[in-house]
Amino acid sequence: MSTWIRENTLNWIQLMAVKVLKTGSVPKHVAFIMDGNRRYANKNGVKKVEGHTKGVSKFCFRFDKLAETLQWCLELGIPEVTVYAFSIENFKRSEEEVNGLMELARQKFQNLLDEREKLMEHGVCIRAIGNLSLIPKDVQKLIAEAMIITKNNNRAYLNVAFSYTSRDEITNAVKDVVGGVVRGNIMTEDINEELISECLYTNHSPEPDLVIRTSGEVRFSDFLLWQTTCSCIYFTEVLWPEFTVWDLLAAVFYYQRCYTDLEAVKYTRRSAFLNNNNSNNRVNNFVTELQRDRESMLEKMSLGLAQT
Amino acid sequence: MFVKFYRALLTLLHISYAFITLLRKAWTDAAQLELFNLSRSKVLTDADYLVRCVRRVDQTRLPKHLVLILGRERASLRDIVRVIAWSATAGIPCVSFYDYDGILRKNEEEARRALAKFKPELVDHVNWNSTCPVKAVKNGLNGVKHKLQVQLLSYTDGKREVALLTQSLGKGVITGALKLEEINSDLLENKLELGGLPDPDLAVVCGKTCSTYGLLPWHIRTTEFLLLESHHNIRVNDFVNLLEKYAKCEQRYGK
Repeated sequence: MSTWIRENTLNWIQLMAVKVLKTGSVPKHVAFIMDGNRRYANKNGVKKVEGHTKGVSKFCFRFDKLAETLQWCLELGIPEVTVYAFSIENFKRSEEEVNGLMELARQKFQNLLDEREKLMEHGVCIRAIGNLSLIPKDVQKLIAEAMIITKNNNRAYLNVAFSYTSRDEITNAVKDVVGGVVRGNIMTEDINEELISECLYTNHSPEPDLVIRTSGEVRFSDFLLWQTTCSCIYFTEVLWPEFTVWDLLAAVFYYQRCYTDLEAVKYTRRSAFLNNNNSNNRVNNFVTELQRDRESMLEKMSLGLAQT
Repeated sequence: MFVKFYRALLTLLHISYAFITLLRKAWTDAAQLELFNLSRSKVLTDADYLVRCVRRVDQTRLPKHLVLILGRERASLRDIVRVIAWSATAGIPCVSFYDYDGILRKNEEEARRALAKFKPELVDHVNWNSTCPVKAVKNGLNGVKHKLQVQLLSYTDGKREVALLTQSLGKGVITGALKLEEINSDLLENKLELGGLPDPDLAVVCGKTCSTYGLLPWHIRTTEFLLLESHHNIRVNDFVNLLEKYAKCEQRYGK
């Protein structure tokens, strides 16, 4: 059950429901907070998975269900998915547990690399978003490799938020922008919210249209706070390991019901932006250079040369 | 051919869903009215009812900062005043009203007048923070802390404040008042503090569409989001339901 890319598992009635829903507007980008794994484990008396401690086991559930969900998203025509895999807050757990989680990440990203033919065949682009400087070098290396190999794929995008919090992301963007001012690449008056958005880890992605959080929790827990201004939020009671295609369809159905409201908010934002837009060559060059720096950092990581 | 059929089916689904929602709303409205009248004697006012209900809720599990996100609804000043009054009664120290396009903010004078008109006895117990709360810290809130803090928030209090802060940090580093390495989340947290007000812990989103609508991105990482059908003609038991739901939420902070 460790494969990332699966063949279709839907039965005819589910397939038909997918086809019906697809005739309406479908989100281009869906973000998931995969919550409820611990409760599932407790409920079902699961103590261990494949020799992992309990804390790590819940992350196994996360990945198993994720592979299935990605397949459903592709069926629905959702090209981009972002998942909250590992928060910086998770580093606060016991050392044993953190080590277990890193081992699991190692396995999962290794699996991903082992499946590279499939990834290329399906045109899947993998990106990690988060503060990679906080994670062990060998995990960095695997992540960087996966990102570099798949960077030109453009049929489906999977963003894995790993070692991520939104506040950390905003802080880093602010720091990068101030760095640009200090080096004289940009002026302080070039700084606006658009520029900060361009400097986030997620700058390659459109903002998510739909955010799904499972298990009845109704908060964001420091996930994509900057990017969800015009996103539809779907909180559902179902636990992540019990998430089915019907739950995904229900979320998309809810998104369709909210569509006009969200478009109106987007419209207001866009017109405000057009009035204040001060993007110029200086800013564009700065952003391009920042991207280049990040790419070369990634190259270094894939060679195991980066600092932790 | 099939596509047309599927499309029709989807439209039908949406229409029937909307219809069922409408029926359910009518039903619960009627049922609640009935129940509400039975469960309290006629002499019990909204405030008495609220006090009675709030007593049952764990006091430490009351929100310290409640934000009502108006969503796409037109602001109803009368209902906003109701929420202010109930918050004061329930002992919620800080309540904000968020309107993403800033229309409410522009009409602050009118909101103040509405408070004076509908709840004159509250005027002395309410402290309006007119400017953006991120800046309020400079003006200082000293001496008014015992009052109910009321803010009218808009989209610009969120991302734009972060952008403005980035500008001033840039200037700070250029002039040597600050080092680039000193910029971290603690510094930002400190600079973006809501003028001594706590971060929102409960956000109530009005309307059917659940979204943050751009509410204070830096400050909402642990905020609980609950939906309210509409803030127009909000009833005291809607308010109580929200507080009770909030009291049940559990924070884990990554553990």
